[in-house]
Amino acid sequence: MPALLQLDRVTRRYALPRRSLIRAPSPLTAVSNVSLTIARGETLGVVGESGSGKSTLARLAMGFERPDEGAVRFAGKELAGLSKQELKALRPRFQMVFQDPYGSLDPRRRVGWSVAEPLRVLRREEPAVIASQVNAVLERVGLRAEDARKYPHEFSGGQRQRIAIARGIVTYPDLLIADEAVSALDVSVQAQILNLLMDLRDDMGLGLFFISHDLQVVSSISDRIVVLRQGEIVDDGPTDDVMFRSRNAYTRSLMAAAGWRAAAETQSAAIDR
Amino acid sequence: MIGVEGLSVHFNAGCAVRDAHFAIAPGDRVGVVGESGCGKSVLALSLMGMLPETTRMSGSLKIDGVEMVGSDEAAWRNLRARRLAMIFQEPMSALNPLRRVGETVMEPMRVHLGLSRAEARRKALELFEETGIPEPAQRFRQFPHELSGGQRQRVLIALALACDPDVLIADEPTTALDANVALRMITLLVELSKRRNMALLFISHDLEAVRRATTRVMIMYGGDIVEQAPTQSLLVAPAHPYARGLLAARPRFRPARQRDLRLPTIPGAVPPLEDLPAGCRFSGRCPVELAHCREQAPPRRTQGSGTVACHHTGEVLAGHARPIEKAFV
Repeated sequence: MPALLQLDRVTRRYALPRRSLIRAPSPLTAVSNVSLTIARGETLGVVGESGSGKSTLARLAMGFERPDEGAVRFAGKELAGLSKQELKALRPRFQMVFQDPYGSLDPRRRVGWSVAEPLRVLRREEPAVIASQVNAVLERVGLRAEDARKYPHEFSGGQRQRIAIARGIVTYPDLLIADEAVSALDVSVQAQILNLLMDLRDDMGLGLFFISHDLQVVSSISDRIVVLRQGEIVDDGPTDDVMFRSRNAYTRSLMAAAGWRAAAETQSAAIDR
Repeated sequence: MIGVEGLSVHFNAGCAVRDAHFAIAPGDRVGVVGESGCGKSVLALSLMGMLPETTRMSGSLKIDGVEMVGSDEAAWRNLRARRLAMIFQEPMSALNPLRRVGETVMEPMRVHLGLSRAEARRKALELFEETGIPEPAQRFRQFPHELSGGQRQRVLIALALACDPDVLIADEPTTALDANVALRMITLLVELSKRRNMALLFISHDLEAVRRATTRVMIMYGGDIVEQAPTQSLLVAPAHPYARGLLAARPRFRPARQRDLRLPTIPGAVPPLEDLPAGCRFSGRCPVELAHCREQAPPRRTQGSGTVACHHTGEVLAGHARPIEKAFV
């Protein structure tokens, strides 16, 4: 299958604040020589600690930022080579869900307005058509059509994340980028949202680019895993290979910190009983 | 040392902690687990006498045999100065950004123990060393923003230890930290508790952190302590339906052949305080609910080496017949 998203030896640097009048400010390399691909219907998980470049990777994949070296291609088109108009026309096919369900919805706008935003940008549909599409996706993510008239503060954290996901899929994209999408949620709600993402992936054939600091969460949903450390990929492969057979010391330290062995034991005990 | 009998905390909206029973002895390491809004932090604040003025405590809370329900602020202040200490989740906002961290750690020793500057400085440097802060003398002169998240958390622990407390309450101390840093923090807290025979009350939603940090754990839901047991046995064989749902719902690694399955979930969400059912707080979400669960508060029974608050007995909660996990899927 052709790659939906392809990062080809991507490097992104930021200028640090100047420390000396004489010396040039040194750059910070947030992402260094990263290559990865995602196909339709596939989930690629990225795991890394804070400062590992996870969010930079998400912004590069969305075309919010341009790489200093290498290329980001969506459906074969290099994002850096597109005009603003061309990028806007491509945008409905790849969307993003953010971590903070409080910050990513406008508190003064009704939920229906926020969910419709990606559609309004396109200026293709009549308002009535947009409204019915919004109602349909709200029901698809487990909310009710009437919820479109409410404000974000009327919902719990898990429901707000459902709203954010509804906005992410309202254009029926091919790829959804989820940056720490379940990290702020309670355990039982986390499981609900992960299940929803899996349902959407399977029903819509979505490619999922799933980014999190939590190895357990990433390994519960991903087909393949990439381990990011200080901007570089230090380990990658099919999830089972990484979890069972990784020889990388850093990956193993993450697994130990996540209590992987203990967790696996209690889980199999719970299933057996 | 701390004895809690039928302690309840009432807010205007409802009861945030209901009929809590437990005891903490010197050197105990006790975990408090639950999702947000389950009353973990309110319980911690009530042990510190730091509840907002609009709340009311009932029941009994004895610290060193002295009844603290209804006692005045002076008595609490005295306890907080010398016996109880607390660390919070946010290591940035808990430190004064305009003061050097060394000064911050010296202050309580100067005020409460009446130490001279030189003595307080010497003791603070010892605490920096004990909490594993590298190059203590240099760190001493730095401001909070110059330290990493893990180092700031260590400074907060040093601050909490300044007056040699008997009980350290840690409210989500590892939540804001990276996995490896969190692990070192837990190791440090356990070491300190053992070395000083200091009780540790470890509040967290992270079951893995609780497994490593504690020997006994209380699971809270909707203000009730629904289950209390040795950590190891509770994590392997929880009894209460909520505890079992919570453990089953934890996202974790699944091999490829299982990955198409959906994760077990607890339906719905924790209701707000004013909407909690009068009887069992978990009714409405419980897969094995009985007709009278919603109206009648469940009895607290001994189960194995712990206690469970549930209307069910025997087989439903016991180890072998396990209909509950299946019901959650």
